[in-house]
Amino acid sequence: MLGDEAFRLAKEAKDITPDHIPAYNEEQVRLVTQETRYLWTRIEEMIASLNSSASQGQVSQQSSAQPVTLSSQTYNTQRYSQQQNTMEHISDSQLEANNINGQTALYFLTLSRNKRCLLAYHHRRTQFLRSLLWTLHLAPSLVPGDLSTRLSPEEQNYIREYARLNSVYRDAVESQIYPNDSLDWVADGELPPRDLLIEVRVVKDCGEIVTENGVVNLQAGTQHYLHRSDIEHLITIGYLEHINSC
Amino acid sequence: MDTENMYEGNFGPNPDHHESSTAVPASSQKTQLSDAMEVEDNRSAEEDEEDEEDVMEDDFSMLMRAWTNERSAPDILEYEGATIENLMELVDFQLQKMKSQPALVANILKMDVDRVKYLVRSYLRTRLSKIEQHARHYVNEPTYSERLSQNELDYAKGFIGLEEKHVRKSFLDQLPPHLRTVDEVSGEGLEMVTKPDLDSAVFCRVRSTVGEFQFEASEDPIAMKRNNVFITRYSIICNLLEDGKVELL
Repeated sequence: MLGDEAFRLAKEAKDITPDHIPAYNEEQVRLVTQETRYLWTRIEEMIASLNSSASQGQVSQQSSAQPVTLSSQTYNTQRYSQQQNTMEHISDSQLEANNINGQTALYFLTLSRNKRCLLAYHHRRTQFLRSLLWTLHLAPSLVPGDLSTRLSPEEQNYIREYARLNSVYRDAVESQIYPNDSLDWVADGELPPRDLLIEVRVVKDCGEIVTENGVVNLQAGTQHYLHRSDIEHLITIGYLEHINSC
Repeated sequence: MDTENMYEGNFGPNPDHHESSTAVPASSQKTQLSDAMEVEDNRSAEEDEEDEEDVMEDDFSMLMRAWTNERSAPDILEYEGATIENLMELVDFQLQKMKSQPALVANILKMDVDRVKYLVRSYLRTRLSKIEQHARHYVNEPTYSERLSQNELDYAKGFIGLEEKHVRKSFLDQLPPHLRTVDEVSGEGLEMVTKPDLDSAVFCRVRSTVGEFQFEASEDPIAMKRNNVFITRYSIICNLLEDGKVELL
């Protein structure tokens, strides 16, 4: 039925939760764009026939005799002309014109609805991708493999470009306001730092890391008391586990 | 919204600022946002006048306030560029000083530096996420584009380009040419360029006495005294916010 495909797409957009994203539904997107293109050609045909019948049939009303142009305003003009028509005497050719008017109006609404659904679907997905990237320190390479298989090639490209856009901004800001050191731009932004040192347990072997106070060997199973800024990125990617002392 | 509960508890990020203004649960049961509702405080008039004098604020509390305002306001506010630059200079100075201090003091200073960095970071990131929400609107409207720093403006433009490219590549190029615009207004008045909702409800605290203030045209003016807390529509108090007479909570 008219608009069903777009409805399915809108429903999929709603299935996106903060920690899960369904696979990119290329097929569904294709179906919706296909329907949109088809409806558009139908509208073009109908308007062409309307214009030709209007010029032939000598319809008295000015409004419908005017050639209807293809634009997003079409729907409004048509509604207006319909209102005018109902007030006056309706001839046979007028009735036919009205029928066509009604149909084009319906198709037009479906067109814009399809477009909205498509936009909403893609918007929801990019929103998810952006918040995901922030939790991954804006590093596209950290996106888990099973997740990136669920993204379209365009979306993977989007991730990379979004990360690049952010690094350009970060570099510009840091060189301007804080040239000597880093702002730890991508550190966990949710909570203000409470302690300078945090206790962590090593989940996976990381080898040796160099910190401000020397080299630390992070072997699986060991516990360390370290500067948050030194090992924050390792917590995010799951190599270390933060042990809450309180 | 459960307004009753929201009146209780601590309002600000900075409890010191608030010590003597005890929030009393509002007796009024009205929940309409149009009624600017007041939470009374029992600070006396004399104390008020004394406090009027301590208007000199250091950069940290200024940024703190800008940060809270930014987080609560529905639209983007003026960029506090100078404050941030001053603050980062102080941070630099602190880091230099730290090297000659004993470890304990150095650690405390480091903690301080970390917190300032957090504040700056969170402030900038809050702004970025707001820019992402309504990028096109902020770039198109001169009142808003003036509030962004040059870097933020570049970011907003880059972001618009990125979003547009993404939808074009994904599906827009396959639609009929007339449907390919991304900034149209549809028949029902729905706009594709989203705008912040300036009528959303905000809590604000009066920083310096405003006097009688007309909240709604249909209602009597209400006296706005220092440290009073109101819940009202953002659009009503946004001018006071710009002048620094109120702060958001």
